[in-house]
Amino acid sequence: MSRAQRNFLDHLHSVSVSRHALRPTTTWGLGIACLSCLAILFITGFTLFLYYVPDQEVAYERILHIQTTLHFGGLIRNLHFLAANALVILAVLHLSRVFFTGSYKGRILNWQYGLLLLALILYANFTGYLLPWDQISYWAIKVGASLAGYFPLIGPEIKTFLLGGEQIGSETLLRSFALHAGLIPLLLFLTGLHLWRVRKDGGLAAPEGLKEAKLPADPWLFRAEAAVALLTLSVMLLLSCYFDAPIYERADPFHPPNPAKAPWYFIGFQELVSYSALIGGVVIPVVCGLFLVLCPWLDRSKSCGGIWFSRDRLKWSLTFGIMLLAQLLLIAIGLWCRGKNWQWINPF
Amino acid sequence: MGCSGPVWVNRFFYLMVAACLAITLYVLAVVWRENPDHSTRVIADIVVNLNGKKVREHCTFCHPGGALAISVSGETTRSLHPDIGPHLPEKLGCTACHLGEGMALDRKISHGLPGLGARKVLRGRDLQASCFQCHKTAPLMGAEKAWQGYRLFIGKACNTCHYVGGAGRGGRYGPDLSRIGSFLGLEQIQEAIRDPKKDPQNSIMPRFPLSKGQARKIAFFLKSRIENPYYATPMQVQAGLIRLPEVSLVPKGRKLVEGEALLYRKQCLSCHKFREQDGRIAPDLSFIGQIRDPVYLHDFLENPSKLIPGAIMPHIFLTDDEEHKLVSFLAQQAVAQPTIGGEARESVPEVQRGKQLYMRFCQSCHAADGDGRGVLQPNLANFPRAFTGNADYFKRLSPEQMRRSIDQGIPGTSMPGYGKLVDPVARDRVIALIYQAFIGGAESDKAALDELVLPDSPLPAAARIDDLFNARCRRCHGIAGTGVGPEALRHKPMPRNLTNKRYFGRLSDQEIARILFDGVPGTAMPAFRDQLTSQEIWGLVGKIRTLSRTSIP
Amino acid sequence: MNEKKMSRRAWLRRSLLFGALGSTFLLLGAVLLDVWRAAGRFSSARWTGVIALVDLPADGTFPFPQQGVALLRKSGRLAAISLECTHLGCLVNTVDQGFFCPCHGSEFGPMGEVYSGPAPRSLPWHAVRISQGRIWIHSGKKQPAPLWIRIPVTEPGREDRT
Repeated sequence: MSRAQRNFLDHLHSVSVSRHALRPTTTWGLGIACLSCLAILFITGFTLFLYYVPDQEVAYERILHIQTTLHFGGLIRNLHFLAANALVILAVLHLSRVFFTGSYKGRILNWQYGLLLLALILYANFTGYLLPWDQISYWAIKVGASLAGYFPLIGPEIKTFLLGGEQIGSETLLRSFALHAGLIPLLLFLTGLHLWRVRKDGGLAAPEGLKEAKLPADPWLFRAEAAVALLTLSVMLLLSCYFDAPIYERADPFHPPNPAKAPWYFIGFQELVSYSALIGGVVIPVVCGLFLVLCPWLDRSKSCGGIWFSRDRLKWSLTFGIMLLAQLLLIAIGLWCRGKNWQWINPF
Repeated sequence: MGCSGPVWVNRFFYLMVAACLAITLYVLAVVWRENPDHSTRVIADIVVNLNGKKVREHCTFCHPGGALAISVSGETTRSLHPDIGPHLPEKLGCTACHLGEGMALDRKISHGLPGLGARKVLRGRDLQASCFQCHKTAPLMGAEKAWQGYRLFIGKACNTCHYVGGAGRGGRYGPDLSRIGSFLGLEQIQEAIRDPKKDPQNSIMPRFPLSKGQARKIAFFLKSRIENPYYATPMQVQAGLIRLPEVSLVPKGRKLVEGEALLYRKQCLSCHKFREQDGRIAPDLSFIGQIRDPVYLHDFLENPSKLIPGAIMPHIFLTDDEEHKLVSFLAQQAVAQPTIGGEARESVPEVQRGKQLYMRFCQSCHAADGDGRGVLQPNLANFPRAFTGNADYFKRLSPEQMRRSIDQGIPGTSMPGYGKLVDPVARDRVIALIYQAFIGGAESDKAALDELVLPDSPLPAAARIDDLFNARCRRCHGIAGTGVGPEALRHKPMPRNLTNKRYFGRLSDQEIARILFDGVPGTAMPAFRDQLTSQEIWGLVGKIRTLSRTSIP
Repeated sequence: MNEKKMSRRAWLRRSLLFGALGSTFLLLGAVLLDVWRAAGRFSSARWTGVIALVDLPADGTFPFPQQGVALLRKSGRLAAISLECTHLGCLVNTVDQGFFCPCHGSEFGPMGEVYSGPAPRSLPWHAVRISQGRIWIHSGKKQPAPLWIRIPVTEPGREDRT
């Protein structure tokens, strides 16, 4: 290995790493899995750029072209789709890990970077959802943007921004594409910042009194990370063989599917809004968002980060856990238990 | 080299390296097997330009020269595309006529995804659904069924409710069908014609008596109504320069007076019955001049749903002259008919005479077996009273009420008065038949009814009554009392429209109160005698009077 | 253990490791490359209608720049020569003595043979056919030698079509 390579790797992590940080139960490798998904997304996304045209008339046809005409085009698109959805799940899991271990303690800035990244990931996902311009994506974006419109004061403004006008149309497609692609530098920059802060904050959060022998980062940490990255790649590849990225009929502005559902990660909010526009569309999202943003300051427990479900943080863990479970439950209900006219149906 | 580290890291790492390689190989093998010849064969790519819009297709990759690949016992033979005369397939491309998704290159997607079926591939005889996208709607060789479909479209008066670009004025009651071909598939259009109330369930479109083949023909025509038609420039369409041809509905070879010709020309007989001509959608007009007075007919033609709230008949464009001719023709025809009572020959037994009358006048709505589900019932604003299995209702009905309904009709509904047409003797024969054959039991068998009197104590306040209405009535009768609440569709007979002024104008307060106290047997209307106080019920009677704008007690 | 000189076992392990990793990424890279270069695999080559037979004047050379060909008609025979210069692909002009490329001055003879200029080869020929009273050229197949076809004396029942 050349000196330059070695030098670069040495600066990625500190020279030595504690055994605790290497233990699988400490992080479950979620951060690296997220990073791997991001890498897959960049590469496959670039490939899709070569063939996609963000134009109302041809966008759908270009997706069909990619999916069926290009050899391996379907594989690339499936990978992109799966990695995008996996990234949302993994990022939320990563966030939960950090929360449940209280690792945001003393790393308030990085916690905020992480939240910003999550928001960016969701936004990139949302804009990417529209690009096939088929029935499901068209109406999902319509519903999703309308959900944003429920927000007081800035809601209509956000909706106009998302749609590029009052109505979903060619402007929406163009701007979804531009923002989907244009977010890449920002996403890259923030990811770099996020990683650099981890290094700056002294690696992974660990319980204080831990007096364990340290291990050289090379090769142990690198190998562990590479293994997780390879695992992520393998899983994505394998899944992309069996799960085709969805494609429905051409977008038809006159025949909404019944029910029209938002992208799955926003279905929880759609479900909430179906009960009450004010409580579900405004109060609960704002409270949840504020809770996440403010919790590093509000949490005054003494225990240091790096311990799963530490006893003096029980109420925090419980609150977050309930929030997460409730959101999952709402998503599951919205996804599987809602039929025509948002009526309750039996999913089985 | 780092022997002191945890062993699992190394094992995990090596395992993952191996697994990743294995999975990559596996995935590549799977993808390769799925489409083996894409990578070696040149992909056919045709760009055609129709109507200024470039269309790119890969169809000829699998269908070289437009050939249809036929697999016979594993061996693929290719038939040639039939000679399509003056058309140049090279210039037209494939998807202009056959639809499908030209940019896709697999069996499933390229032949149109399921769902609304807008791009479902057309083949064989179905292809004539595409002809009138470019050709003028006119008799055309090879598109005979599509042309017949257009004739049916006019003949069944579809254009009185549905607008289709170029078909003249009117047709704004149902959805605009000018672009339907771009959004729905052939099967879906056919299904919507055959079973209109399937989706949405509250559709008011009647189910026309059309065979599957006839519905298909109409679907052929409608499938050619597309968003950016090839038969004209957008400017020509906007300027209304494109006209669909006139179709003469008047039967050939018969000399008709002006009024009768109007019945045909104004598409009345597409739905209504007149003598032997029967549209099987709407009531018989043969005697309408006698059972409805000219003023009623005039008002009805002006605005059908004003006299019968909820009537699905659309407003028909008629000049004053046309209307006059039509009404006077109908009145004249009715007078020319003999009174029905004397018509029956003496040789016909008593029961048979009643039966004849019932089958002639009552059966189309009240049904031959008296359950109210006659041929016309689905198209009526109000459910015809069921006789069969409805003895409880008739035990409450006084003989006078029943005779009044038949002689004078029931205002605000499709039940006309037959007093002028049927003499009292004949009418009593029908009543006897109804009791004997459907209701069961003697006519004299009446239930003992208590006297319903307005209580002396003051009625509840209006706000309280409104709350009560919302709690008890709204779900079925709707918040405005129009009879279409959220649960209305679950009931048959559907809930009564409480804003029907003419209907409630004829009912006395006692009669309305009776409905509220004891419910209506044979319908979903429950009895509120045990659930509400007398004051509350009488308050609701007042609410109905307010809603129906009839006199307030 | 010497840092410089690895044991055979370690070397084997190392090369296996890098071999496996390398081939994984090579394969995945090849997949990407395949998708990236797929754009070159499309072909719009097909029979393209040029002109109705009855509209083609008697013997001579008739350029159809839109289709990129010139039709040569000579004593009842027909051939189609490509109008794409063999040098850098400009569209050549038809002149009295043959063809002339406006881009770099290549001159071709009446049968497309190079007279002068930077063009390395003669102009190639397209396959041509007559069907339904029209002349068609195949935009894909190009040959170095002319592909003459005989013009049928009368196309039964097709003359009236244009």
